Amino acid sequence: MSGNQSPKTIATINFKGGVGKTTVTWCLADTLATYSDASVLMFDLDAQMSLTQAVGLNEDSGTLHPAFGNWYEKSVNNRRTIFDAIDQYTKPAAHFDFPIAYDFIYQISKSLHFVPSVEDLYWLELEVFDRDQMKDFMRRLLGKIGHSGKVADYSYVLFDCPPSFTLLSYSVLACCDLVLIPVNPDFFASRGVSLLLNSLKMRIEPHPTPQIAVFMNKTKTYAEAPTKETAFYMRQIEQICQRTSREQGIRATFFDDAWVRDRVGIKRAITGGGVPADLVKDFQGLWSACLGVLK
Amino acid sequence: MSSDSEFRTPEQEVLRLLEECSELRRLLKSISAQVGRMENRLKQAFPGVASQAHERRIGGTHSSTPSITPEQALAEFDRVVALAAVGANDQAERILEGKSAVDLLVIAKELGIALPKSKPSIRAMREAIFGKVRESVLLTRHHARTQATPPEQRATVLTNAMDELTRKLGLLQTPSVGATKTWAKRARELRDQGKSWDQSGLIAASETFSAEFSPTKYDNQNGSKIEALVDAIERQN
Repeated sequence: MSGNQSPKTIATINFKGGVGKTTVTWCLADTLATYSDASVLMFDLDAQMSLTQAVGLNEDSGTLHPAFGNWYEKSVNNRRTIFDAIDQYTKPAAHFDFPIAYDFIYQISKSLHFVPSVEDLYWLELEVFDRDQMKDFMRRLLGKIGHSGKVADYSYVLFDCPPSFTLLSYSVLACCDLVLIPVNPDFFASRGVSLLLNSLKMRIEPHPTPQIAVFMNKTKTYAEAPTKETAFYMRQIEQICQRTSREQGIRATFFDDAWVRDRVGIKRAITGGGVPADLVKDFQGLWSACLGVLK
Repeated sequence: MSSDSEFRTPEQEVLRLLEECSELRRLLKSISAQVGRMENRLKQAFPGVASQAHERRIGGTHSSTPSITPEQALAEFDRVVALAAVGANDQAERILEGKSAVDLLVIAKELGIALPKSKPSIRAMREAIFGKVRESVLLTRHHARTQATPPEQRATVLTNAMDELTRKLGLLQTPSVGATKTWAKRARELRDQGKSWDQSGLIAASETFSAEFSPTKYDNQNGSKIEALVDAIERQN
């Protein structure tokens, strides 16, 4: 990773489905890789595999891109997936010697690399019962990636987490620098943030709770500003962040200036060649806000 | 009905629904006419009250400029939320009742409430604002638990069940946890074999606590039933 420096790690999470976790993770990673000199590693930890399929999907044919499809098949056959890494890590009394190379990490572009999901993650909770056994997995894996010498030095690692508290998300939350929570301007998504903030510390303990940032995704706008309805939810969530920070002893920040607007067909950004021009500024703003709290 | 099915065909279903619709329309018209007649009679009987009600409904046309700024409107909303959050709903509602229509409109606008008409009634605005108040209160209400029942509470449930079992069976001393669970397991087996709950409890007791149990001391009238005791003990496993 960047010299001797550890990469900054950011986990996108929300237990409410459909708030845009996958799209936000991709757009942030793509904006960074395209418009800065940073090298980015992106993990899909969701057994739904939305990000993995979107990265490899050919919109015209509805099938996987041959390059990604071939690479993925080889990776699965050679047991070089994230599940195999967990399997190796949790073997009793075995040294964690999972080999890190580009058969484990897929190179989407020069500075955007990707660790895809596998369907085996669906059964992870049944295969691996021991929560304590898993807690250091991601920390150790990132250490291995950093010291492998066979892959790039990453400046940032982004995780697309599942919409539930799995052993893998526990492992990520126990080691990441920033938990990024996208929320939508509606009651259910706002309630999801409230629930998450109120239980996160308890679930991650004894690890220290990472810095938490919440931002409004799918913002409805009028004259380049959030509508009053959206502003209502932004204000509510800001108050929730302040209250839970005070009561739960966590560090939760709401980005009142760094929101991402609602846009029809944003999911095509992943399969259709990059973040739309009118959203690049939103994601750059979001990234600056993330860096602000990481400092 | 169609000849080969007991269900109506889509065409028959549409006809039936249309008939129901026209029946409802007739009913609503008659209700509306009846309400209109009542309203007129009331207006004639109490002309003063009727004009007041009219003014309230159209939203107090006397003052057309709001007395609060958008910032103050949000602060007022927070005040109402804070009251509702501690259960003082009446007080919270009274604050909104004291607001003029234009002020309510400012609050509603600042909360992003989409009101259906250009001149919404005071009642509609109050209800919409209070809806947001409830929403805000719900957003912060949590009952986070680390586990279903705390261990100390589980222990109390088991202890109480053991005490009750001792009393009911007339035992000389409270049995051990292990013996209690053995009794419950055996009672359940006997019940599954078709015995009544009382029989199951007594047979299990004579097998488990043979030395100190006498069926004559069994109290089948008072306290918990054998079924409830077995259930309580089993759930503590």
